[in-house]
Amino acid sequence: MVSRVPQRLESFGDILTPEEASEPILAAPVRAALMEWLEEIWAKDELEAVGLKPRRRAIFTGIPGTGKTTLAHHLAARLGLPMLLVRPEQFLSEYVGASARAIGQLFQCVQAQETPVFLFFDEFDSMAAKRMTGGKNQVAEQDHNHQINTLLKSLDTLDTFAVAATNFGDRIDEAVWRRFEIQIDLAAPGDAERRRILERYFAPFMLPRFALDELSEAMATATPALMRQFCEHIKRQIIVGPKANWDMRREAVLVRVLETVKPHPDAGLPRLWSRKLDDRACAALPWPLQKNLDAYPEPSAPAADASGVVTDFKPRGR
Amino acid sequence: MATSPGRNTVSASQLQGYIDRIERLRAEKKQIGEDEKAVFAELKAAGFTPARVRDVLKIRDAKPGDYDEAKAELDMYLHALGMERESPLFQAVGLMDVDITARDQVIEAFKLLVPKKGEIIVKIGKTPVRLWRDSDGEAHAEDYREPKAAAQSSAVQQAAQPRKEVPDVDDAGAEVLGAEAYKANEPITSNPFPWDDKRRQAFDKGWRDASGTDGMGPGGD
Repeated sequence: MVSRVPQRLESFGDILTPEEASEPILAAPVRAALMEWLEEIWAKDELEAVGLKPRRRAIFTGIPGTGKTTLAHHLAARLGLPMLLVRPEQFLSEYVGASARAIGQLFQCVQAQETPVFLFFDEFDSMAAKRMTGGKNQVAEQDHNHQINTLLKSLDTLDTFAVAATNFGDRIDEAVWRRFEIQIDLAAPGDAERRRILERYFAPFMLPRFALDELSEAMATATPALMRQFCEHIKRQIIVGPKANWDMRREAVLVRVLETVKPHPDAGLPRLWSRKLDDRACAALPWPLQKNLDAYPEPSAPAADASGVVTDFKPRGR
Repeated sequence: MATSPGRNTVSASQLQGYIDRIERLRAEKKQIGEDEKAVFAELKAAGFTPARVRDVLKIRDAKPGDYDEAKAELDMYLHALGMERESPLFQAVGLMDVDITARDQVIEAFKLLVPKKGEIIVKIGKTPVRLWRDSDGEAHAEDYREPKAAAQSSAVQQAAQPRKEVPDVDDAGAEVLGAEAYKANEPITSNPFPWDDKRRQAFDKGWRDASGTDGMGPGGD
């Protein structure tokens, strides 16, 4: 009469639906690799006819904020599968052996689903760090090694799609790494990608092309997450500022935004953050922002905006 | 023991510090105890039975496994003494001359109780057992495995359900739908076909061809 509630998939993390996915913005080589993977998955029957299987597991590495989660979610959505965002804390326990058991349960639970589930392990290094042989704390080491062995075994028998993401590829156990057939390093976005990211996060406001070009150039080496914070903070200022009676001139807003949105000290400073208001991208930013490109004054004639600041931008090149 | 420098005695100030701390903590403890009493008084006034609330608190405090084990043990003891108020089935088995700690005996007892039509599934010990009668009226028992669907997560099912109605078109039609979705500024992930439908790829292809991209960012500019 002992009742044991079967572990529910939801208890291992959040389930994200395909509808919630957004479009990733990626550099060309990475996109080609992913498109290849998708095509391969869709050609499952043809591959099986010649005794091959599509690859099922991929690992994404890269600095924080390069869109690893967005990308995994996009892939799941392209395939039309729900994605389980596995929470690493579910596998932490003060009891020896409990982590390994939890991993086993997760995979069992995933296998029991009728609809395949797209598994996504975020911060994978916390789950799959290298096995240890230090001998300093044998119980803990044994337990960790046991956890990795369980993971290896489970990955071997897993017949659904799994993607792992980590900021520290070098910390992942080698045998676990080998289980992932596709390894992709996500770098900071390129010029075209940055422009697209700015467009997306400035929406509904629109920027003329030359302003986007300048801003994108000034933000070289910035991560998508940083750019998003920058754009969203400007939009926040536009909404909140007038109510709170802040100085809403372009320079004042930019100073406030650049003071509070900053890249990580180790991540390298994009030009915009080192030159700040002296950067020509600031001068090129039309102000106030408009939701319609036609609403901006003709770029050839320097115009004064509502607050009396001359927006002396000039188109460059194109 | 700590001694203060230059004197062959304990450090009074240090000791005083410890004592003060303990006294403070005890005072807090007392205060908290009184607060708790006040909550109990309040819930009693609201019509709850304090004793049952204490039981609930105890159960919530225990680890789930411990609670299950304690409950099963209690059931077993009460049952052995004939004090357990249980379902008629279990009561009937209890009244038979069986050793309820022996799984085989319990299964045999249950076999007598299987209805002519239909089946019963009971948890005996840790694993459930399915009992049924064949056409000759003979009772059988087998270990019962929960069907996979029982573990099926409702959230997954829901997430896998296509939100829109699946259009009734062929591959070429799905491709056209994909192209139309792109023109209507809908994302490539608005694909209405389920994951195992070949038309899902056709839709995807249609969208990609119409946009000239792979759906993962801007075109080749």
